[in-house]
Amino acid sequence: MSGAASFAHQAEILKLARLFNLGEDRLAFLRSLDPATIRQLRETATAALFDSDQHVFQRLAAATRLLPGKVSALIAEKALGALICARIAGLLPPERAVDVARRLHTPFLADVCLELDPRHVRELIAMMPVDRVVEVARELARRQEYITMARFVDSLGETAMRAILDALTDDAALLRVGFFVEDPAQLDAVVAMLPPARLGHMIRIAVTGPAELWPEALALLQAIGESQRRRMAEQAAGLDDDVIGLMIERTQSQDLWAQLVPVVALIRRDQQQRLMRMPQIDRTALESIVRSAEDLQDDPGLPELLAQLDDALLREARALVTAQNPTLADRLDAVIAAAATAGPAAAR
Amino acid sequence: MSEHPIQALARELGTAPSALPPLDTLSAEELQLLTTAMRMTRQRQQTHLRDALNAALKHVPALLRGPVRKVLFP
Repeated sequence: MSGAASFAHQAEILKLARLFNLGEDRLAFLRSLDPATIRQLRETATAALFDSDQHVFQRLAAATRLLPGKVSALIAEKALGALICARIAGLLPPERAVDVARRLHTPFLADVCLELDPRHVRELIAMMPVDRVVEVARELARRQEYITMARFVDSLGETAMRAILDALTDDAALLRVGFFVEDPAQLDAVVAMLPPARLGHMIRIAVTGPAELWPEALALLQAIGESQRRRMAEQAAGLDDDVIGLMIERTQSQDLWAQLVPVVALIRRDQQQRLMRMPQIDRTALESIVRSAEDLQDDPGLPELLAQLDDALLREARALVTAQNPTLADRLDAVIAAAATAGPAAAR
Repeated sequence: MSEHPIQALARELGTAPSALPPLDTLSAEELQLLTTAMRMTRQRQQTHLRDALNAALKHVPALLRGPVRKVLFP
C-alpha cells in the first residue's frame, strides 16, 4: 500500500469512527477496503440517519419558524443540542438559520459544526458573518478538530478562507487540516492563497515537528496540483542545511522516498545537487531511493536526481540500479551521457 | 435461515445490498460490527431526539407553547 493510500485510509476510518461514536481501532479492519468505499459507507450511513427521523426534524424546523430568533437560539442550546441543530440546519431557510446561528455561543456553534455536513448547508455557510466563521474556526483549532475543519474548507468561500488563514497562526494545525481536505481542487486553492514564506514555514514545521507531520505534509503535496506543489518544493529547497538533513532522515526512517522524489524532481538542478550531496545521503539512503522507483508509476525524474550524487555514490547508484532495475539503469546512463555531452558547465 | 451479513447491513442502512459499495473483503464478524454500530447510532439519535423535543417545550414562551406543541406533536 502506498503512503498516500495509507493516509487516506486513516482519514476515512477516523471520520466513520466519529459517526459511530467508536474508537478508531475498532474499525481498523476497514483498511482492507478502498478509501473511497469507506467514504461511501459513511455517506450512506449519514443519509440513513437523517432519513430515519426526517419527519421529526422537519417538524422541529417548522416549529423554529414560529419562534423569535433569540428564543430559538436558547432552545437550540438548552434543549435540542448540537446533533439535532445540525440535522435541522439544512431544513430552515438560510436567512432564518443564520439569524439563529449568529446568536449561538461559539463553543456550541463549534459543536454543531462537528455534526454538520457542510455540503448540505453551503448557502448558510456563505451567508454567515465572516467574523463568526473565524471565531468558530479558532475554537475548532483549539480543540484540534482538524477533520471537521477540513470538511468546511471544501465549502468555504475565498473571503472567509483568507480570514481564517490570517487568524490561524499554527502552521502544524494548518497542515493537519490540509491532510483531511477531501477536494484536491479546494486544497490547491487554499495553498495558492498562502504567501511563499508561510509555505516555507509549514515545511519547516512538518520536518522539525512531531514525526507524523512529515508524511502528512507529503500527502498534502501529493494531493495538490503541480503548480502549487512546485511553489512548496521551492520553499522547501531554500531551508537551512540542518532542516534539509532532518528532512532526509525522516524520509529515510519512515520509508517515504516514493513520496518525496516527485517533489524534489520539481526543484532546480543545483538545489537537487545540494540535497543529494548532504551527508545524510549515504549507501543506506541510496538503496531506499532506488527501491522507491518500484512505487513511482510515472517519470518523477529519479534518474536526473541520482545524477546529482557525488562521483563515489553515483558509481554505487549505477551498480545498484544495474542489478535491480535495468530500465532505470538505462535511463540513468542516458542522463549521465547527455550531461557529459552538454559539457562541464551543465550540471549533469 | 439467518440473514446474510451484507443484507443485514444494507437493511440497517436503508438501502439495497446492490447499492452498497464492494465489501467482499470484510468477514461476517466485521460486517456484523458495522451493522450493530449503525443500529446503536440510530437508537442514540432517536433517544436524544425524543428527550430534546420534550425539553424544548419547556423553553417556549407560554403564549406560543400551544401552537408549537401542535407542530411538534401533530
